[in-house]
Amino acid sequence: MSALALLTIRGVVGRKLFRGAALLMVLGLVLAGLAFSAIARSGPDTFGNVASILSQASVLVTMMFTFVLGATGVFMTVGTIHREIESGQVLAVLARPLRRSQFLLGKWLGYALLLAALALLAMGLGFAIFGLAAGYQPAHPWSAVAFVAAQSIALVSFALLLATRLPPVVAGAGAVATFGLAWFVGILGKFGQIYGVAALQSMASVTSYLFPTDGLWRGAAFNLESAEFVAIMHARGAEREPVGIFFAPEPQPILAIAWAVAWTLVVLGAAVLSFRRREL
Amino acid sequence: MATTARPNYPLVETRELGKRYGKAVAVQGISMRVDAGEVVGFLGPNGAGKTTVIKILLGLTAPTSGSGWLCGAPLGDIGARERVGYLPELFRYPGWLTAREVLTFHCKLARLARSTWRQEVHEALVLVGLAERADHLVATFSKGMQQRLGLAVALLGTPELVFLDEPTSALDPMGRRDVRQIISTLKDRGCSVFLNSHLLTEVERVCDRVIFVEAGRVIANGTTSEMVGQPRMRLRVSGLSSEQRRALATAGARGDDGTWLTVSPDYSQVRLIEAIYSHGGTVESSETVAPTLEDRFVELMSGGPRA
Repeated sequence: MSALALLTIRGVVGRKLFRGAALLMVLGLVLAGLAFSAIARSGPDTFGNVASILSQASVLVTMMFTFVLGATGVFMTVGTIHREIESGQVLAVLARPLRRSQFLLGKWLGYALLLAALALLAMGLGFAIFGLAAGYQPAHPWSAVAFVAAQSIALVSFALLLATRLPPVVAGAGAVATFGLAWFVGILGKFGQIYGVAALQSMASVTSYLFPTDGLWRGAAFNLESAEFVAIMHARGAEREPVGIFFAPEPQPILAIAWAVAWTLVVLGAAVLSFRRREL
Repeated sequence: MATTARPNYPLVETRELGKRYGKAVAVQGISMRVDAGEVVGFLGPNGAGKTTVIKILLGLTAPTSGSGWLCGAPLGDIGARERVGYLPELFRYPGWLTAREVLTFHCKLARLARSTWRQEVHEALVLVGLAERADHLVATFSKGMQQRLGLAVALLGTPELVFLDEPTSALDPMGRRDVRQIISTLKDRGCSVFLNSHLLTEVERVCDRVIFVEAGRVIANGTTSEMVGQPRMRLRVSGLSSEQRRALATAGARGDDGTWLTVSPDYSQVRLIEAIYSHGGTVESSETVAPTLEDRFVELMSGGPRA
């Protein structure tokens, strides 16, 4: 399995899509650093509480990063699986003393390690840039990295499940669209909370069980917010105001985190079962 | 590459093996056996189910009926695959790896002892003629070179049995000769070969036995010399209508291409000649033809007698 994971990482790193996405991320971080610097230089006369603005900006930048990371992971996964099956590469490998589950889990492990490393590197670089440009530090940077990595890994596991049966474009678009939909329903749930619409809250709650990536995102957002920002928002009662749509007032409950992990494992198990039954 | 210890069990044994894809039947009731040290040709027209049978034997797809054993273990057994090599019909290897890296990766997958990897890789590369391209990226290889690399992958680890699915499809005549030589070398080392090829002259030269399949069934199975058969007499006949020529089947005419009538080995040529003249025809000439496996293949696929 480790050999397959390493081969997967090597194969992905060498691809143009990966290099393009990495370049895009670095470019985005540099631009964000310039923006942070500008905000910090403008001071309270322009923005009121600068720390609050920087906190929101870091959440926004990370949100864009997680989308790029997730989409890159999805299209890498579905493309590789499809190509290896269609080209026959998989036949020579699976004729070895190797179970299909080992093959698929080896691939998954490669993607998971790569996404976790990317999240760590890119967000670490981002935090360094934000610190240098504006003196801003998130409250719990490494927890935020862990949530972002977990979200990407959950999404890629789902994409892997789809890729065992569907053509790459359908599997990729399906995974990214479901990811976006879950995020959107999470926003609707926030609206439901602010305006007291129970149906929207219920919808968001059910969706968080079916596709828990938005919950993981909220976990990342909470850890990115500075303590000062959280205190200000609580004092304003922001969780009950439209301004609090992207505000994560509390850490993710342990049960929600456990569910996200269990969900990822179940999806992975389904992917293995599906691949074991697939005709090659 | 070391000599293969000859096992005392059949390397392949199947009983009424079948495979359906929905309503489509790919393989139906295939029973066969490959013994240690044999080179067996597995022949049939496109769509006969040859590749499907190989995939079933290697556990790449599950049979829907019947049973079988590979290297003495039930089909699907992971451990049995440590003792086989496989060159798939579709051979593709990651273009961003070198030939040496591809082979090293397969040494790991094949569970070979790490201390043997270097030697295994070197020997396989030399055997397939890629030693000088060992550290070149696969992406720079021609299709023929990739097929040679696939052959090298199949030869790693002193296998007891090697499955070669159309191993010369991308090779030039020199490459085909090399593959024949490699198969002979494998045979000398006691390794069995299960060869699926459309190049019947190749099969005739290297195989001890051939199995013909059509529409997912075994239609003939025997030694290569049995399948090819004895030299046959054929007669150049004129002066007969198509109907009259067809009627000669009862007098021993086995094949007819419109000009030449082949005499069935079970009949006397004198009796056939008498019948030709009695119908008003003329025998213009006669000759003895050494049959080929291709002749036998065409005959079988045209509904000829099956053994």
